[in-house]
Amino acid sequence: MNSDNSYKSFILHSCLLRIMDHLKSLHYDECHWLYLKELSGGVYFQTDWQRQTLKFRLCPDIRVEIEVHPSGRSSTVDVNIDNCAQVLSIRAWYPNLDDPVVYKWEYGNPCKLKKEDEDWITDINMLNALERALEDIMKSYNCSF
Amino acid sequence: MTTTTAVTIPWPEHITVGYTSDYFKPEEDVISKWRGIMNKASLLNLLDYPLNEIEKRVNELYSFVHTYEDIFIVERRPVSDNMLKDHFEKHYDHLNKLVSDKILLPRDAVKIGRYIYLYDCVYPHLSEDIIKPRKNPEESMRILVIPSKLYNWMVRLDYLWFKLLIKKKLDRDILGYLDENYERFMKDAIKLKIFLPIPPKKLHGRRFDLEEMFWRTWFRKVEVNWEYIVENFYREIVSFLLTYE
Repeated sequence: MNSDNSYKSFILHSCLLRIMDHLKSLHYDECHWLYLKELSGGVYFQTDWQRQTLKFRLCPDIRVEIEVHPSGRSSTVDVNIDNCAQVLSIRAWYPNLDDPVVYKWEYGNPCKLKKEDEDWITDINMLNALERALEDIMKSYNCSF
Repeated sequence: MTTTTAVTIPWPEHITVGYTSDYFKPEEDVISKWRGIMNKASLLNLLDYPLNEIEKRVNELYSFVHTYEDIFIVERRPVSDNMLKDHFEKHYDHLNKLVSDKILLPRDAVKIGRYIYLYDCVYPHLSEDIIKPRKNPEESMRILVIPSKLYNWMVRLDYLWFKLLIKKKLDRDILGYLDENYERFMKDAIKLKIFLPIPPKKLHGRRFDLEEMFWRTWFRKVEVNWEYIVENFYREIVSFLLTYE
């Protein structure tokens, strides 16, 4: 294993774990709207280190996949998780619909959250962007179904 | 607070064997019976029994709860522990103590530490059931729910660990099973997409001979630096992933 691979894996795994922990903390917060649902058989999250993704399900039944493109800006994740990712793609599938809605958070000056490739919110950190995107996904679901 | 230690169970585990003759018991009697069933199903009280007793008693517990579902709440939720702080670090404190008390050889402690790390790579993906009586929520039980493919390996590690901790005895047969099957366990977990190597806080960028470090430090009765151990296990697992097809 060369050090580049080791480093890239470290950043990727750190990001996935931090996002997972953040989602759990929102699920546990009784005042927060986010509520996770099991994927199947007692499993709440799936991680695919080859595709660099984290999968989970929002209640009532929205499948979400987050793809992380790790960056090379950090050697630790304790300080600022934003330094660990270049792009975060958030894809959500509503029940009975094949095509996902897509959001993207991009690192930059300032960091941006895009909705279906259009700039939506600027100057937003990664975990806030994730939360805003999921909230928007839930709002659209409640309006449409 | 009488919350009992986690017990591992296979999935699916819900069976419907009834306790119909007791159905009209007053609620206090049901709660009293619950205490007994909860204690019987706790892993701490199962260490003198064969392994299959765990599954049997947990099934008994679930069927009891389903029979009295108006009295109990079963809340399924994602597991909540922070792996490194709440789980892994504490296990290392115990391993240190077991080695310095000469209950465990450093060589076996290295193996068990590695297996705990592998267990922890799966653990954050899973769920737990919190079962509690509606009127006595403090008398709750926490049950880890494990996909059936991974159950045999994980339940044996729990069993080995508690036996080591409580009885101060290493079960060599179970350790042998864990040795023979840990790669299979990893591959199955990767296929299920519930295996994420837990990253250390930072990557120090140097390698070392972990086993030698364990031997030296433990023989000198110096505490092992668990952050280095996490890093070493992490690098080892990432190497495995990169060669895994």
